[in-house]
Amino acid sequence: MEDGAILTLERVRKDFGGLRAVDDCSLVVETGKIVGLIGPNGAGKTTLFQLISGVLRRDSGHIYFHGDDISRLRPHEIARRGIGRTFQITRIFPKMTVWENMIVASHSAGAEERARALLELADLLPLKDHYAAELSFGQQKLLDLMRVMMLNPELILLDEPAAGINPTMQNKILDLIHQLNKEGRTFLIIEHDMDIIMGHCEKVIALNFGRVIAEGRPDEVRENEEVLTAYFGK
Amino acid sequence: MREDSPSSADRAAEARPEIVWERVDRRVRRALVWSLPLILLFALAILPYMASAYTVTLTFLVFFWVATAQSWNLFSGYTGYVNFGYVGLIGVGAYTTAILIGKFGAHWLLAVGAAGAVTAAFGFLIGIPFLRAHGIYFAIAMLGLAEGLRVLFSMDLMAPLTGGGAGIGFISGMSLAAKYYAMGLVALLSTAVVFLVANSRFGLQLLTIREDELAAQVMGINTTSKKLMAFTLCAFLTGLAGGLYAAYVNYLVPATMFVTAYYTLIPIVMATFGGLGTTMGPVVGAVLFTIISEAIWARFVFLHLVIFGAVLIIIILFMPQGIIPWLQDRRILPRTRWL
Repeated sequence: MEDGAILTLERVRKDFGGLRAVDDCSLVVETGKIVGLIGPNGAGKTTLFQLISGVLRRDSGHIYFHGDDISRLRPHEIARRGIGRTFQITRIFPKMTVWENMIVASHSAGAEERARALLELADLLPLKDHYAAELSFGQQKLLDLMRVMMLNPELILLDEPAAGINPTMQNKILDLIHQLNKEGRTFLIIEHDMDIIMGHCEKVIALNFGRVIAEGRPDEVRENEEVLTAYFGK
Repeated sequence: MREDSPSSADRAAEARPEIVWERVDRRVRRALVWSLPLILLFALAILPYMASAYTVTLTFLVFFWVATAQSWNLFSGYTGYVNFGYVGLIGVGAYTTAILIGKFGAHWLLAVGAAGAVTAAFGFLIGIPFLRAHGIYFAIAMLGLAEGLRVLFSMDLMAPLTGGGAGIGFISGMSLAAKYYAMGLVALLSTAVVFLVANSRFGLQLLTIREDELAAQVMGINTTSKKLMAFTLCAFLTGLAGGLYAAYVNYLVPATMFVTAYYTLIPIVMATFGGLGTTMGPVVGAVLFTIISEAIWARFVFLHLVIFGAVLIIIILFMPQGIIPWLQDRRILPRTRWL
């Protein structure tokens, strides 16, 4: 176990029928960092998120959060331990108000003050009585991110937080991520936009065929032979 | 990409039209909110002394439908798990009362209370395996359960207890007024429970299951246990209503007690008509449904089912979300879980 690691995966494997989506994948996410997870389509990035958050059960291997094996826990137990996640397609609760979306995700005292502060931070407070379905797509992504924060998570897994929204909203979301990172929260982010990865991550992990093919500083990973091959072919 | 600017949130908030209900003077609103239910309760309380036996019986049935539509709503309206085997719960409650009174000579009060407890225990036990199924599979499994219960209660093996296919008759010893008040209390209790749940954290957690169960789980909500709690609560209230209903029927036969097309579908239609996942929807639905069906029945004796079906289709086409949400979407009523 590496010192300062918040999340450690040890030879984690997941098969879907004959397809090995995650193949003895081992990786480490250090506490307090913003880590990017990249890889071509089908590399196993989202499956890895499903395994870490307990939505899917791994076939073999171990997942450690703060040194505790969480690979047998159910999704709600993992969430309560302090791992929050968002989905590639936002999964807000559409026919519940923005306020209800926030409140229901908290499991400790002080939910109201917290919800108010987070909505204020994201400029969503004026919309608190609207149904989440009535928000714009970008606002829904913001709400999704703020709702995860109601869990008061130490580690947040974001699946393409900046995809499909305009640059203004993108910057807003990235600013929020940095702000929350300064509070000591760790982020693991799947992202296809290389500019975002290069500009905002301290470490990048590249995945292909369910395995880590490269990791390190963004500029190192970008130059990596295997990564270039995975993306562009030989 | 869509249009988004930082200030669009404020503009959207300002652009909404005012809610009609909130344009009414605050004091008038408060007076209405407090006086209307009290007047209604008072009128219902004195009804047996003022009205004909027909009216009292009809109102008793409305109470039964309010209680069942509300109980169905408590689980299915809030979690989105459509319970097509609801008649099974009514049947278990009804048979519990019938057996306790008919075979053991119990007092109706005890028998009805036991019906609630037995049905709750039954709901809890079948909920553990059945609630593992999602969506259409849960609906089909429940349908199968109700059918299985009908067969079980018809079996000769069970005849010493249930009377088998020939049924079980008993005398509840309740006057019409006693039945009326007891069912009224069950309807009130069901509505009160839904009201309390709807305005609690528990209620919001149930709604997240309807909205997106997976998202609810990763938000730290133990959806399995919440579903089971709601299902057990639904079974308890249904058991009370079914138990009292047995006292009204006085004679239970599996072939008429376990009719899905009646005891499952009518509560579903009423709850849906009024608004699923709302507090007052099932009440409004049950009352309007009964009034419309009585009105049509009285005018078109032979065609009433055809006409009633047509009316239902028209209503569903125009307000698929139900009356209460329809009024809320049109900003006539405020969007609050109180309604």
